[in-house]
Amino acid sequence: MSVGDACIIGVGTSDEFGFDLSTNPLVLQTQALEAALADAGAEKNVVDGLISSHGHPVGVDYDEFVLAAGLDIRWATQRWSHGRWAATSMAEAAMVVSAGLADVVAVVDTSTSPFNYARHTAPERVVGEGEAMRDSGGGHGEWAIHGIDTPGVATALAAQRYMDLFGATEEDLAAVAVSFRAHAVMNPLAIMRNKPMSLDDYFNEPRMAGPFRRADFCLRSDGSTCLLVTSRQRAADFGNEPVGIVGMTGLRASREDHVLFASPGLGVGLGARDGDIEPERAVYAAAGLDVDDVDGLYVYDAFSSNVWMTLDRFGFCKRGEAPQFIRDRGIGPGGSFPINTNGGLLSEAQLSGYAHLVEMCRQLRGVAGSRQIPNARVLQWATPRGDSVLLARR
Amino acid sequence: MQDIDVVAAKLGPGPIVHPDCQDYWAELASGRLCVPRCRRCGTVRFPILSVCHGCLSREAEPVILEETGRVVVSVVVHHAPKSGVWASAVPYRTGLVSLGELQVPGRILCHCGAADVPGCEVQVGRVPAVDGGHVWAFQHLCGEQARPV
Repeated sequence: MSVGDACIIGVGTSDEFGFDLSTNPLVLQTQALEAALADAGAEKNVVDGLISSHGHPVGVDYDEFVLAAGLDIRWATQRWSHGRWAATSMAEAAMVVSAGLADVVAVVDTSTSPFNYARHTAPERVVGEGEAMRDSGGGHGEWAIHGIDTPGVATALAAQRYMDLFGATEEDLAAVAVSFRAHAVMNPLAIMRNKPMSLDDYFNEPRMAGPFRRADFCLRSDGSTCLLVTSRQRAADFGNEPVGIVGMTGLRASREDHVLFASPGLGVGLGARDGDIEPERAVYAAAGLDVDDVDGLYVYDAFSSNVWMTLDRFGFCKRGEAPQFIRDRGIGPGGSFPINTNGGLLSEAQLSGYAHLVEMCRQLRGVAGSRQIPNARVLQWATPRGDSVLLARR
Repeated sequence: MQDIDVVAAKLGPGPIVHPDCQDYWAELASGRLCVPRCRRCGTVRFPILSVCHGCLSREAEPVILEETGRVVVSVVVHHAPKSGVWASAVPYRTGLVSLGELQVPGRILCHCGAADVPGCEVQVGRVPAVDGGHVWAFQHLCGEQARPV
């Protein structure tokens, strides 16, 4: 069996996403698992694999969850608690079921913001400079001692560099955040569903760093997601339409990738390589598809400029032409190339990109309601760093 | 012999100093911005880490960096987390500066706005940190005493 035979047969989320749900991560994750099992028409004893994203204190360590949920697991892993592992987690789940190391893998992600529920669980660990005080700076290109103390400031440098090099404007940046908010208004789960945002509203937002206003930053939210992955053969035993995991690429890491949300060649990495790069094509080749086959894109939009970097990196447009691509095609409701129809991390919730994957499954099954992409057949999840997952209707 | 100036600025956090990097921070406190140069392959290393990214050697000697660089990119930070040291320092400017063959992050002190433009020439300085130590920074010679933004 090839890895391309892996499928998603159930998706679920916590009952709600929010800024402070006053619900601990274990309960949120249990809600998401129950919802995914109900979606698949399955009982919890079918789950024998567990891939956990965030551990304690912002999420739930895998062993605690197994204990609490009464699972019997034969494949378990847990990520470094960052929102960069969604593609890696899905790829691992696909490989695990393809290799027969587990039958049904639950990919779970639960995060509670340091400003929300996590302040109760271990406040001394989750507030502060943390990794940004490493000798090599933080995991997103932060350098706390130089005032680049958050991922937002590090990414603001990348966004400003993009604007300096290619002439992108603040209006171009606004187009991303405003489009995603318009999607979110149609998503009953989105935290910002009741807060439509016009261009004027955007420009009235407070400045944060460089070109970024508050609306260019992801939300700091609580919530949980669960995706159930199995083989195509096993999928026939469940009551849901399977969604195929048809392509995947892993996370890139190099000195050039030091700023997590900058594309290579921008000149902000430690390698400081400046110039054209070849677009990422491997994810399409693995699926026998091309970039033109993608009906909609789901970008890890921790910051608005991530969309520019991702469009450039995967060759949806020539380098530096992402703002023009967005103007020409339209990425919001009614646009010809929808991006982040759930509202994204900017307007739905910051759930490490896994909520994007839940939304992709709903789109591919045709159950996304008013935000449905007509005849969606192939959807892509991707980041500026080059990791990606292609999902398709089986 | 380099003798970089101490520049007045709002205070940020100092580095975490440990045995493998303490010599470099001591050099900065003495007015010299140094980074490791590999004794085996000659690679100049940044950030200040204990292993050569060229050949994996752990042997190094300090090399003094150039005193003048050019802005690659800079931004003004208007908001910082309330829990951190930087909250009381906003607004301030930070960015990346090309310094010889390296690209180095640091505060950029400029009050005239010239440092908004890539290629702007800046000089290496050092700014005090909240713990009493120093961190390197860059200043644009605006024609009068630099302020943090």
